[in-house]
Amino acid sequence: MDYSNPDLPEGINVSKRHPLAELAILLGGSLALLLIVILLLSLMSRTLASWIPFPVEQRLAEQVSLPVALADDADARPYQQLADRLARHMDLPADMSITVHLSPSEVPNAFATLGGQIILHQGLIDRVGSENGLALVMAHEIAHIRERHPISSMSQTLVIGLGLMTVTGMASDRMLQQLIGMVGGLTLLGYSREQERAADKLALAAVAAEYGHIAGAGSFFQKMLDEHGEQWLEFTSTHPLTQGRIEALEQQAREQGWPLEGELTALP
Amino acid sequence: MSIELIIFLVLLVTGYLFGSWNESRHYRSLQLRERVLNRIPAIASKRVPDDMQITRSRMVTGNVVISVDYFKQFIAGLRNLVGGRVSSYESLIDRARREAVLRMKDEARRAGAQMVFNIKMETSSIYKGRGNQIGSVEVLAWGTALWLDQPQTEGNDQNGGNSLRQPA
Repeated sequence: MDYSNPDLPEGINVSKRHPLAELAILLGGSLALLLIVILLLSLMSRTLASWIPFPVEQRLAEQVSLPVALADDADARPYQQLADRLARHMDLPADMSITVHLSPSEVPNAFATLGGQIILHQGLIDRVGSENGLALVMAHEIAHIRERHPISSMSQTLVIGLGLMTVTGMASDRMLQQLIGMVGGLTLLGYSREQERAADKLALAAVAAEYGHIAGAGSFFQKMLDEHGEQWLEFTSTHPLTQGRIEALEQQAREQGWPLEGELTALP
Repeated sequence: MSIELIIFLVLLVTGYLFGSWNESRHYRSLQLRERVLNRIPAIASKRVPDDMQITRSRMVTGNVVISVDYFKQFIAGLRNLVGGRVSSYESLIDRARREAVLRMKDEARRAGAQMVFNIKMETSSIYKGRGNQIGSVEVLAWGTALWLDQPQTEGNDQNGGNSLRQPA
């Protein structure tokens, strides 16, 4: 018997597709898929977060340290009273409570965070001019809390961060700690334009209900927009201010027939 | 994050450039040596025909380890997500198998055998199960080299293959 090996044709055992084409298809496909999944997850987390009971959010907030130094709570008392007065007009759920903290920081800013906490900077109080202006900012932050914006924003940030960490294979205890630290530091919390508008609307209604007019409140944003400079940078980066927002407020006041003029109340 | 991305991209590009350069070079060498060694048949059959006059037999082996490059590994990793043919590893296994058979045949040629019967192959991966380590594939081919009584075609004996090392 005669044995021989034939000349086999080349390349019968490998795929013909170019490796770079393979890379493009796989990478493009998986990135697109990833984007869709993370988008879905973040939308879900944002929606579902408002179902987290407020007491649970408060317990969560206790474990997170605030990113700013706080003044004595006694100094914050007058502002706490202002918040309580405003909150009465805002129809908060029974288990929700607002806590105002005062920060000695000279940077004009105010923000709402987890657990119904509002941090008010001394720099803002020094610049608002009247209680009415401060009330608008305060009511705006209370509105964020009522609408559960802080917890939604935190959930969304956590979910996106976790998702990215998982797929990039960087998920580790250390990274998770960092992520929680960042979210806990609340430096990442930002609200969408819709959320800001919703908060504005509720805030102006509360101010009108409290004082009977919106003098000093509407003009406050306008003043800030005019003075728009370095000193307002932090406030405007957490509360993106646009002409559109001010116009929306003015229109709301016109529609509701709230007087634009009235007696201003002095700061507490 | 960005420094990790840069490292990743450098690894990927290096893997691709060197990997594809090595691969095409290896394929050229494989084709050349296969043509030369084609005169030593490697038969998978276990039974030697009765009319074959065998004077001697011996085991011959060929062994090769080829490393995966970063690019191939990355593509294979993406393939893991969706399934399908891992084409980046196909050429790797193909090369390893052919190289192992060639080395086995070359051993038979140097020993002066005329053919190899009952060839078998075994594939194993090195670094198996070690997370993100770059892996390597090992292929071992072995068979029974036979010395036949009747003269084969011309130029088949001990002296015939010396020119193999540097094929023209």
